[in-house]
Amino acid sequence: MTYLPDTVMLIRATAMRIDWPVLAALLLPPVGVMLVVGRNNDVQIVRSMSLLAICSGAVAAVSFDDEANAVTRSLPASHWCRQGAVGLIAATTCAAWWAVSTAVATSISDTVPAAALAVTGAALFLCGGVIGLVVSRRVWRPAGSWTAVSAFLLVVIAALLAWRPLTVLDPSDPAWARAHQALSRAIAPLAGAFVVALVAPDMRPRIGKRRSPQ
Amino acid sequence: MLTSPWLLIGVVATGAFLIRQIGGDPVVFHRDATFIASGLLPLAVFAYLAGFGIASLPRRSGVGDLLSTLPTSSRRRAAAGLAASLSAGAVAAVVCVGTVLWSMAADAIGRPPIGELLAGVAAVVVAAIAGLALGHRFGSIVSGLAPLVAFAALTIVLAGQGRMRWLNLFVEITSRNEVVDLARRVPWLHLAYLAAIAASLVASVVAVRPVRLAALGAVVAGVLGWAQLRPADSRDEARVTEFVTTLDRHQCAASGDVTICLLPGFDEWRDDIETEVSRIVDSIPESTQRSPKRLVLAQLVDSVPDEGYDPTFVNRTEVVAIGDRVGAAVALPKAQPIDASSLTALAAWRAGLPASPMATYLPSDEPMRGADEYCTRGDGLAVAAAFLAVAGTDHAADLVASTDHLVSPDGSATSLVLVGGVQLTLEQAQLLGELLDHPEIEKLATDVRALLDDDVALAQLRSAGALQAPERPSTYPDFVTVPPPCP
Repeated sequence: MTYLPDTVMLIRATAMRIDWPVLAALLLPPVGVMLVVGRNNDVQIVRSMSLLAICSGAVAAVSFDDEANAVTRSLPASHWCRQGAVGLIAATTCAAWWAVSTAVATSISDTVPAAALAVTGAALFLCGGVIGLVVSRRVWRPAGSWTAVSAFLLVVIAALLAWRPLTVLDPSDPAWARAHQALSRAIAPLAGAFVVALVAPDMRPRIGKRRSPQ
Repeated sequence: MLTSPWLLIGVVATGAFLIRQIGGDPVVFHRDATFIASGLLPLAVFAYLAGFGIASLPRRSGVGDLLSTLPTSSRRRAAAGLAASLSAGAVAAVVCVGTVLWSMAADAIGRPPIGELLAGVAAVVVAAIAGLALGHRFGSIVSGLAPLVAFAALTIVLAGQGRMRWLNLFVEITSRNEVVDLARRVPWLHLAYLAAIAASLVASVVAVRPVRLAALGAVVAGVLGWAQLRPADSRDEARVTEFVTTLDRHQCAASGDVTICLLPGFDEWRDDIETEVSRIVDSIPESTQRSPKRLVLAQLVDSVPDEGYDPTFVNRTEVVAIGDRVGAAVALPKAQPIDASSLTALAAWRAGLPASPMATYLPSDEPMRGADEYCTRGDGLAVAAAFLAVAGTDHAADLVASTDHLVSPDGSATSLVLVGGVQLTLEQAQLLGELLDHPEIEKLATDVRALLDDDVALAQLRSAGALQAPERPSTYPDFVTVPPPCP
């Protein structure tokens, strides 16, 4: 059975190319905001957690569309295994973020709508993941651009502009419940799209197997 | 940088954001300039991303060593890259000028304040420089997100923190009524603050002694930031006074019994307001009209920042007088139908009634709660209907329809909460209920007016706890839907 050692090697190689200090640093500003201005102020806590949710989505997007992924493309693993390892690490990281920030939020306020915020975080993570997976298969890469992150942020900005429920940041607003019901309904389609994008075969030529010119 | 597709996408996103920021009503430049400037926020975000992507590309693609073999020094190459940030500024300037021209074509009011608009363009340049400067230092894409998140977190922290929010790249004006804040703020100081931040970032990349010069730039930025936060001095107060507070500075014009006073630069609102005022005043039945009194409607700026001002100065916002007796704050809308709260005040004035059914009609020095406390059309209509009902018109049904949600399910008037957080006491609710149900409301209205003119009766009512200025309740009764905060 060589599956386990191969899996460990794949996850290890995937994890080694991640900039962990920066990922940890991404957590600090939202938690700092909560600690500075969020005490018994649910609106500020919601703003901070929403920021963290957007970060989760951006991390998911960039994880799947990172040039460093080329490192693992030479490993003896199928495409969806490699992407699965990336997704596992990204999801674990974001879940850890979320656990820490939720713990901080609940410690400074008794009325934090943790479940609704978790729905937001999950929806944006899946959205970022889908965008990252789709964009990583692109055939055209504009020079010097952050394609996946930019595309994800563009989607977020467009959604914020066009879909009023996403701009509801006050849990006491009656629109809050409606917005999060809509988001919770979007989880299943997003998860489906995520899985489809994850297992879709890689159409790009493998490294070292480019067709030589005739 | 101009070839980066994300800058183009930033322009598109900015266009949508600008439409959201200033769309709808005609633009009033010296009020909406910060909305135009802050509308450039998406462009700034994408300029940052484009800058970071461009600057970090050699490191990410592993060609840094190759580039180092070029005869051009790395500092010179970095300086050339930083110069590209000006192209983002040029794009922002084009967007800004385009917005101004579009607003002018759509009958915008006033003149565009150059300082505020330049501050928005400068913020985009600073964002692009930050992306380019950080891209030279960090190679990982994720590392570029960290400053962006930190910036967003700082914006959240500073937003709503009084003058502290002026330290943000884009100044947040939460309400379009905060014109006075713009009079207090010095845009050129903010521009210098942004320039110092940009200089510090540039120095950190291209200077021979980057640490010293970057630190010097940071110190200068800190000083300029502090200068923005300094307590208001006499000159600031004079500037604000000139802008808003005294009727002398308003430009007044009489139309019948009504005199309309507007701030300088807002004169184009006059025709709209006169039309609406005439329509409302004429709609009051003649049988209920009292002898004409002098009515002065003055444009009110109702959000004077608390900090840094003398308390008496802050309280000098009551600029509207009805007759010779009480004041009523009538917030005049711009270039659109006059709102329900102003309708309330006008109807009340024309019928000889106080400005609202609460404690506002007491001729004393108690805190006034003007009709503009009703922040939505629904609650304004409820109060307006109450007054019209009292005045003997056929609008009582309107009030009944609009107060269904204000009473308990069993019909008892235990409390009455109007949208916007205004709560009537039991006595006030009962009084209002009697006014509604009484078959001879005109007679009752006369009695109420007589009551209000009777100092002894007023004193008795006051000692009984009625007619006091109610405080906003910390909690609401179960049957009341918690109202949204006023915008």
